[in-house]
Amino acid sequence: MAQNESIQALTEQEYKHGWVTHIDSDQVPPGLNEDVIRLISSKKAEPEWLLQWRLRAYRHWLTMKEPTWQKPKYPAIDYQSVIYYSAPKPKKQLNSLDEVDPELLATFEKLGISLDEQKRLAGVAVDVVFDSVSVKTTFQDELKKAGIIFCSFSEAVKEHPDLVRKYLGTVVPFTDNFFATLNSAVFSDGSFCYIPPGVRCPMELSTYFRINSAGTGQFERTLLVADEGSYVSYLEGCTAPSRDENQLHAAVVELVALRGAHIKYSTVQNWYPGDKDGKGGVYNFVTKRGVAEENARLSWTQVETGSAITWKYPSCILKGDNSVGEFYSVAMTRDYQQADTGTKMIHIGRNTKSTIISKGISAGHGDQTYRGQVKILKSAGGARNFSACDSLLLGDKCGAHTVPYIESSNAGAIIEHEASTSKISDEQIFFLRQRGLSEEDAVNLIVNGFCKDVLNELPMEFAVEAQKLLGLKLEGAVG
Amino acid sequence: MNTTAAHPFAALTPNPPALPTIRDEDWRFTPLKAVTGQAWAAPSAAPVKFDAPDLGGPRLVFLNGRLDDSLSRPAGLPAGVTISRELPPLRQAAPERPFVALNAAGARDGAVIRVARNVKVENPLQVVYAGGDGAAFARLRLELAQGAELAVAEHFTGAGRHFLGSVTEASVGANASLKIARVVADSAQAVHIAEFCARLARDARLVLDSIALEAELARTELRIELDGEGSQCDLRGLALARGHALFDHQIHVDHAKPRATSRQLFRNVLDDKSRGVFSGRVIVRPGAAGTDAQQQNNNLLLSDDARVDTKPMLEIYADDVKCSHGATSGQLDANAVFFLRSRGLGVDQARALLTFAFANEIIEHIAVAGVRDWLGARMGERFHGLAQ
Amino acid sequence: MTKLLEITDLHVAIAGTEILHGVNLTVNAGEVHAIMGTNGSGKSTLTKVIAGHPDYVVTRGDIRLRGQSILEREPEERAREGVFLAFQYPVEVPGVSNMYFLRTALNAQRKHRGQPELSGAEFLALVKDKARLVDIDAGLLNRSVNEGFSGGEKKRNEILQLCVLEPALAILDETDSGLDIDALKTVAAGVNSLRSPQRGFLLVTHYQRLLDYIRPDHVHVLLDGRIARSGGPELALKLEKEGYAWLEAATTPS
Repeated sequence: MAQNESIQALTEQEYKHGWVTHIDSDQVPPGLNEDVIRLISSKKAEPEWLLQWRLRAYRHWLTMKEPTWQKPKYPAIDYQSVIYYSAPKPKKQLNSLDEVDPELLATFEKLGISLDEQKRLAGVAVDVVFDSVSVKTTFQDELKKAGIIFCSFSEAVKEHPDLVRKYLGTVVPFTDNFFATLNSAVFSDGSFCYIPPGVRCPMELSTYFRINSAGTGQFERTLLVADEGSYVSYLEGCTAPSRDENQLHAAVVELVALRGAHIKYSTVQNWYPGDKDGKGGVYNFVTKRGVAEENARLSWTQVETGSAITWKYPSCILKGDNSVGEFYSVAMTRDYQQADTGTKMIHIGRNTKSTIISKGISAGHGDQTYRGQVKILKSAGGARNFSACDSLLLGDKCGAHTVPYIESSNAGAIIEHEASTSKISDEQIFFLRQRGLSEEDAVNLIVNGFCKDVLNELPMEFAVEAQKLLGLKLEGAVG
Repeated sequence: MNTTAAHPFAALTPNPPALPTIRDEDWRFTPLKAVTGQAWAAPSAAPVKFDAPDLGGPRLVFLNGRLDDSLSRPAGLPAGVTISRELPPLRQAAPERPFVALNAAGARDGAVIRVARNVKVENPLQVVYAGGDGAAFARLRLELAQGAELAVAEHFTGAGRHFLGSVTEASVGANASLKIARVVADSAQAVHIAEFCARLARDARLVLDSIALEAELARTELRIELDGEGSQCDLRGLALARGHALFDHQIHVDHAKPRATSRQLFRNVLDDKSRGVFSGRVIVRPGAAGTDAQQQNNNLLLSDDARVDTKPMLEIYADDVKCSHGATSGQLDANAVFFLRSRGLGVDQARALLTFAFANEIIEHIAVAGVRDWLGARMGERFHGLAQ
Repeated sequence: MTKLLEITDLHVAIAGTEILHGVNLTVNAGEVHAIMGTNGSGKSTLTKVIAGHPDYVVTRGDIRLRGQSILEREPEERAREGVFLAFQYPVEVPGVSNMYFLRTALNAQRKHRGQPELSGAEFLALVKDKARLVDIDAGLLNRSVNEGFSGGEKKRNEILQLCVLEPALAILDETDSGLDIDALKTVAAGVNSLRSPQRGFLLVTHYQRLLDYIRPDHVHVLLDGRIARSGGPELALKLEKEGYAWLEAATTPS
């Protein structure tokens, strides 16, 4: 059957970002102990309070057990064989873009990320995290004029220690969960962003993450604070080279939306998914959470196409009255990819509202679980939630599961949940081909139609990118 | 309680069937106090006042279960359409449906309307059932041949306390189309137990709207057999209940053949101590591949004492089907009320406007234009009252 | 006369069961052919196999378009060569707007024929004209393909696609089934507007009524996977009056 051929071809589509850049890097030896943490901290010339925070996290981590409740299963990770710090070795101190290692610039050209004029035209400020270290942040000057701070985490620790210290760990405490705690101990860099009161950030802010060196784990940490009445749209993109061994990515993202602020956080995640037999690939174990004060709004939008295992639940704590949380997600799994993803909406304030739109696409042996929690506390009178979880199956070896947890302690709350599972039908594909579309375009059209509600939520340049990415994943869909 | 009380219909028919109680699954939410609380007599000969529009086309009027020649106007029909006054035999014999059995025993008069192949009847045909007192029965049969098209308006109306047990049966031939609007607008003491059955052949279409505005008890059972490949039915209903009224819609849609489509959208607006019941059952038979069935029931409770019981059911015995159902129940959206008030509307006005909007989504889609316009005007009056 | 479609000794099976047992049919450019027949006679199979539905296997015989066999062609190649099938049960494509879909399809076909692709504005002008012709509400153009459309709207949407794509060979599989008389007239007007000396039509229908509005040049009766009788429009009228039994009696199994 034609459809089976396309699905087979789909599962054989190769990863486009699988090359390695040959750059000297500065690494610490594999393994984890207090000395490694002290070494990371000293390499980054951190203040004593941060070192102590890391050490407390590490000591707490030693008492924790790796969780097993999630659906994806994976072989035990040897945490002593992971390299916890790897930075591209700079040839000298960088003063301008011209001095960036040309290999590194070429790397980003390959990724389609231009660090200079092109992004100026596109109006996107970019922070790039290569392995664990931020290498370049564009547009700092323009942003500075608006009072916006957008820089690498290390730089923020040096330049804005009070802000970092005030908010670090307030949304995801270092005791939160196994991987977040590990991250708190060893995080090497990441992005920091602060939008002052009443400021509408004039451009999209963007971070690109790439794991390059072999055997490295990536543990970046993002902290984003939107002060009262401000607005920011923030994007992150991720890729990694193809490697036979599994690479660990355990990141933490903390969002703080103060009264009346609006944060829109978008992710296009395309970590290396492993080969078509399921060998290699990134373990993407990420903790993302935001807290919304009164009248604030948090929007998570994610397009998850990569990683061998994706395990993340971008969440909203709707603490203030009238605050709003939104989660829009497209997750695609194929080959032997597994995803266990969803969101948590914790309603604490009165008249808080949340919306969850989740679209899962499974092909090949891909397996995916939507896991979402909607929790309405007694204090959350007038709370409302709407959830819609749709799954699209391509072929008969893949799986889709929906696990909603709805916990309401307030009788006045209105909670609606809808779920559907459908298959791309042979008749749909035949119909589109009869009108002159190739089989590949037909599958593509159906998948993009299925995802439309979510893709519409992405900033425009990224919507195009995400659509292309979904298309690339489906390229060669015709046998 | 007098347990040896006579059967309430004993005076009308010699061996009336036992009436259901709330212990019967199909009657769980529909207590029959309004029926069983008295002994029903045959209607008197007193003149009957009723409330139904005159759409100007052909019209049949049943007064207390008898076709009234002076009020009826079986004229203005194209060639190929016949109306005959006869009591058609019931196609269904259902011992588990006591009111059908009661109609079988008690009906004295009826009509059969036949539309020949490929004939389109331009003007809607009106059938008015009016009652003033006592208990009456009526029977109507609609037969559409291949490619025929007919629109019918059935009005259930009258004055005072009376009972009507009606059965309407339709057979819709291949590629034929039947549009039907049924309206219960009676006195607040009237009781209607009505049955509508239709069997659809290949490619046949049925569009049905069932509107209940006023009665003490109005129960409508809709039984649709999608007995032909590619047949379609679109069923909508609205019950606007107040006082102590109980309005009940019981829907059975049977997908017996492949690629048939069914749509159900039923809404209840319940005020005071009224009750609304919706039971929607969709059966997809083995082999009915490509079935597309949707069912939706929305309820708006305007008072804390109103009550709704909703029971959507899907029984699917085939694969390759697309079925969905949903039910909602709630009060007016407090935010929407607040929004309208912030724009200067009074609280009652705001509530009336939102209630009207909820109900009007059914009214404005009624397929029989004359009924739609008449109801639109009635709704205006009703909601104007609510705004006082 | 140009032979547009030639079907010779066509045998077709689905899931191992033979449905067509040797169909012969020639449609010349400019002609309208109607195919009638009872349920299960193989009418829909014939339309789908011409369009290249992957479920149907040709076990013997040939289908030629303008003299070239198309049996080895993919469905989209046949479409781009000018074969159009209006589906008996139109397919829904959630999330894909009617407008976007139609433009993608038209441009895929134009590209194949070496014509420049139409811009959004050019296409909009074209489609608005055609939509008026088949009485399609502008709102439906922006909705997802066939999703939430009524039965009649779906059928008219098929004819809109026909009018936009302007194929050489238009095959209508029971487009009249499930249509009220007014909608049927609209559909017929759309089809009649496309009749031309260059274009051929194959109308498959269950009901003679369609042929009152689209007058065929030839009528064929398909019975048990073979063409049992061919004639002019009078044949359809005879079938309407007398049914198919007289043909079944007259046909001796070969």
